[in-house]
Amino acid sequence: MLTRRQMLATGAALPLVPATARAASHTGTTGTNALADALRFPLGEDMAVTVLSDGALRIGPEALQGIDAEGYATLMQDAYRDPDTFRAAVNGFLVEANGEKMLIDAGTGGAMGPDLGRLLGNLSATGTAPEDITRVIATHLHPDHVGGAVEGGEAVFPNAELTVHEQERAFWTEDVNMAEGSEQFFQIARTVLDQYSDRLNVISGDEVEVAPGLTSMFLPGHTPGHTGYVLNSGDQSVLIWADIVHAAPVQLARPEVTIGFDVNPEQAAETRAALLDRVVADRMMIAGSHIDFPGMGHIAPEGEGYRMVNAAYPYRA
Amino acid sequence: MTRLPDAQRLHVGAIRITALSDGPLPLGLDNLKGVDAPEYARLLHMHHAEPETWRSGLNAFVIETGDRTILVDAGVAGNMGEQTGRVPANLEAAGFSPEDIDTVYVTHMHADHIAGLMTDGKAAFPKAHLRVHQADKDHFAGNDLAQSVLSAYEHETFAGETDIAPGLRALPLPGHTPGHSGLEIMDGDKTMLIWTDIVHIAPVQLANPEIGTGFDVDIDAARATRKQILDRVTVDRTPILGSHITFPGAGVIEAASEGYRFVPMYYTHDT
Repeated sequence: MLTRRQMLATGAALPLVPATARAASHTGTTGTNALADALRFPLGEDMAVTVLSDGALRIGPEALQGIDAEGYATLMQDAYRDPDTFRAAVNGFLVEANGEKMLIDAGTGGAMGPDLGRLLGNLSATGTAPEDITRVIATHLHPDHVGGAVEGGEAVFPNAELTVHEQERAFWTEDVNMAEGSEQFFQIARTVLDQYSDRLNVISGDEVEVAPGLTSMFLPGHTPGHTGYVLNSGDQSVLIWADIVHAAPVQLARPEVTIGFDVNPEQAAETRAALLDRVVADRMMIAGSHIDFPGMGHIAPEGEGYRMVNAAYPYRA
Repeated sequence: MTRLPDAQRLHVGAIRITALSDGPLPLGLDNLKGVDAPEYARLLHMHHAEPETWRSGLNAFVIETGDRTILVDAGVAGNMGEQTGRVPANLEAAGFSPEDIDTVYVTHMHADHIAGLMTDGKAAFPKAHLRVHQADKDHFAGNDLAQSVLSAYEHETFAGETDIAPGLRALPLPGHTPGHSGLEIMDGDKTMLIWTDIVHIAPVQLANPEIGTGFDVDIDAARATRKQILDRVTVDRTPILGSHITFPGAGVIEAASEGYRFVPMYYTHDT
């Protein structure tokens, strides 16, 4: 077993780019014939969620605990993925409801290298400008979720309120935590909290209606304030479960496997096990931040674990 | 909201495939032979789909191999509901003009695959040479649409497994129509099979490959071909592209507790 300090330190292996050196990697798609990585799913009568890709991130066996390289390779091959090249998606979610445009997570911005940082370009492809966003809702304050909320140390979404769980804000604000974690993770989280400090919506508890039809679901473990969001419209709903899994082919098959980014891996595994059980029992549609784009579908039991059943393509009207 | 195109890139080695949606296709229980309503609902539900909302897909594909640009089928030109007929717009969004297409590969001569080849009575792809199986040319000899397509395009028929372009080989899969043909895509050790109309209502016909459709010219031959190709792609783990599998129609077939199931291919992040 790794110590908590070692697990937190895994973050240091990421290709983090210092904030001062962030180039214009927000350009998103490239070339004149580029297709957007954005897919809009209507929900009920009056909502829609558009999955916006930020790109993809290599997660190899060395990032995981509770499985060795051989076991990782077997599970990847079982899922028709190449263990040597597997990359996990990084997805954000544009929610349209009640005339508001809300962003659940904002991608990496320039924080994690040139293979990522596409979210803002994909947002633009939907015809949405940063000024149009009324709320940025952070599932947690890791750089792949909120790095894109700031650029050059300033807020990217000038008209957005930032929603974050109280326990998340507290964790990233405490110096004692930074002393044993990745300093760059803390710097990004703190820059985000600073830049939106005059328009913070700090929620607490297990369940808060942040906007009509948009309700938080406290899912602690991956980070202390890690929070999913349930979108409800008419008889349809979807749970954006954020970072319940990072390497889906491995962690759906073996939910006890944890990742070095988990602040409290034991609690993360407990939360994952309980939620997997619940979404299967309720046949709840889920969307994952790191499930292969667009990351939307149902979870079905499979052997001793689970598998993803992708949502049908959302043909537009 | 700006409309997003329904187009996605895939690769087989150095060969680039762009899947294009023509829109959702209103197919369902009424089009199937050998299944009743409760069983249809049960099989869809098993795949987390609902009979009330489930829709089939209609996909076309552009394949770039060497200096060749091949269009595989062209959609139904809006003749199966107002949500169909989207291939031209999606083709343009993906960066292709009709003049870029040097070859049209016709998998079979049903309207949902060839109606989009015609615009105002003329060839929609003016520089394209057309390839189609001889048995379909013969079978559709009395069909007005098929005849107008064959008149509008310089064409060459094939029979049997035939090379179409570098890395592309026609694979006859008879039954649905006499000349119904898939297309094998190969580069190095990478392969993919456009299996065309092996299934029309994928969750149901994969779970029970005995179930045929009213569109099958020879329902027994179509069933035999379906079962044979399902066995082959499952054993070989060959990724497939389906004309009527939910967009982009790319994935792998695996054995399931009942019959087979479709596992979508991973997203390539290639724009």
